Amino acid sequence: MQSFPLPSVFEALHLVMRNFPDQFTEESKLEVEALLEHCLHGLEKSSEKFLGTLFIKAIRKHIGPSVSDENIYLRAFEVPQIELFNFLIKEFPFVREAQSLVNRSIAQLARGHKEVLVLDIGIGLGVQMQHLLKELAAVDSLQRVVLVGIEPFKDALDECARQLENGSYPFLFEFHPLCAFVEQFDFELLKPLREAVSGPLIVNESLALHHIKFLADRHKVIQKVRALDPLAFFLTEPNVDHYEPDFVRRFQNCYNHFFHIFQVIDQLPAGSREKNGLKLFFGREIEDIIGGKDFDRSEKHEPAFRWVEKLKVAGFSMVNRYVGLPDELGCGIDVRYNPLVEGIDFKVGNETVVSILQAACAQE
Amino acid sequence: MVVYSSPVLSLEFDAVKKVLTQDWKGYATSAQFREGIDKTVDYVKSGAVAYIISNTSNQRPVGPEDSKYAASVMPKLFASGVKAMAFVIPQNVITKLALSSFAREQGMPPNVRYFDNLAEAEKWLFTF
Repeated sequence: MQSFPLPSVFEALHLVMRNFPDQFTEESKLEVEALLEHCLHGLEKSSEKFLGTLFIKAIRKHIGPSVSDENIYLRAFEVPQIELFNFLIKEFPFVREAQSLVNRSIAQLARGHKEVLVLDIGIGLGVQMQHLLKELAAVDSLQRVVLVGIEPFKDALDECARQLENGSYPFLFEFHPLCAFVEQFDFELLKPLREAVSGPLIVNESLALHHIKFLADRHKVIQKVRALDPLAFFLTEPNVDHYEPDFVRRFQNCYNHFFHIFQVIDQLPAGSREKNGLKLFFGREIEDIIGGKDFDRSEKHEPAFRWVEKLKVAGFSMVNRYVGLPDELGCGIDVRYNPLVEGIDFKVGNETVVSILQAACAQE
Repeated sequence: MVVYSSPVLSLEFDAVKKVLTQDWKGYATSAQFREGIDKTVDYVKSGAVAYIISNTSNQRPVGPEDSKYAASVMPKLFASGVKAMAFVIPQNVITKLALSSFAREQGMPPNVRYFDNLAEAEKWLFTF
């Protein structure tokens, strides 16, 4: 119950964040306490309050213990990891639809070829590639598909291999799992495969390149991909600047990005348990972006235009060869071609949350 | 007449209007804040106070436990003869949130209201 207009959580958080990381006085700690108390009251019904609580959790180690413990409240919203992962893949439209659009576009490029080589950077459990293989199964011309998956986590890669090798395909299928961080991977190893496959190479990465910590390494990886002379290189990345070194600006970017994601979560056709579990899941990303030290942060997203710059510097040009842009996604998401970056925007309101880019080797 | 003064709170009583005005200033430690609350309760118990204005416009945030403490003394104030209490809302963004926690705690009876300035607050008080 309130009887006067209240400021937004963002307005209050913005004041709190000015003290990060080492200017928290007794007074500013009280500000955090007062804000947390406000956020904890009714957070299950307010995305803004939920988000505010996650941001305070992210900076907690810099503030010290408090009267209110957000973890006690947040623990109630935890959902088992595997359940959440399935929900994310099946129901979260950004991931599902972005990957689906990329897969349709890859299948279109494979048409007319007998063989195709696909390189997936950060293949994870291989969910997108399983769907891609289904798309490729409908490409009549294909007789052989060779898939290379680069992934730093061996457990995920082993599970990926099991899943892919259990599939049945109307073409000859080979999977080459390569356990490595892509920035440390020796791309020379791919040359024999490149020569052994008669068809084109198509490279994909979905939510992987932003994990490369240093810009120089990002450039190098893109240049190495370019040296393989692929027919297409697809990138799916969050469109937000979390590489920003200035903390307050990074906080603003982060809040804005997740605020829009939470608006979508609120509209998903699911129960509050799954929705709140998903919000809590994103809290780990917020913790990395806001609470982590610069050298050990891994969620260093960059806006689409910066990826475009890197692609062009490496000798790529942007192409618009997308197939089957969805008309209507629901949940407030608008999918449209963005002529400025020559890619596909997944927008919520005015905010582009996720971008898909497709690059081809520029003509010499 | 100033009846209490500390670095964080000035209590002034207008015997003609029977209004006790709390004027909060800046950041208060928990001890300073609670002492101010206790002094208010003590003065109200004298029975002369009919109205209270709490001017929080320049107050800095207080912690949740102290907000609860302040809310807990409200019944004592009304039991001692206070007819109505008006708050002048704070300028500080986070103090506003703390005050809203207080408002929630004490349940918003009809004789407690929040105003942007002292003049409006006083005008409303004298309707009781």
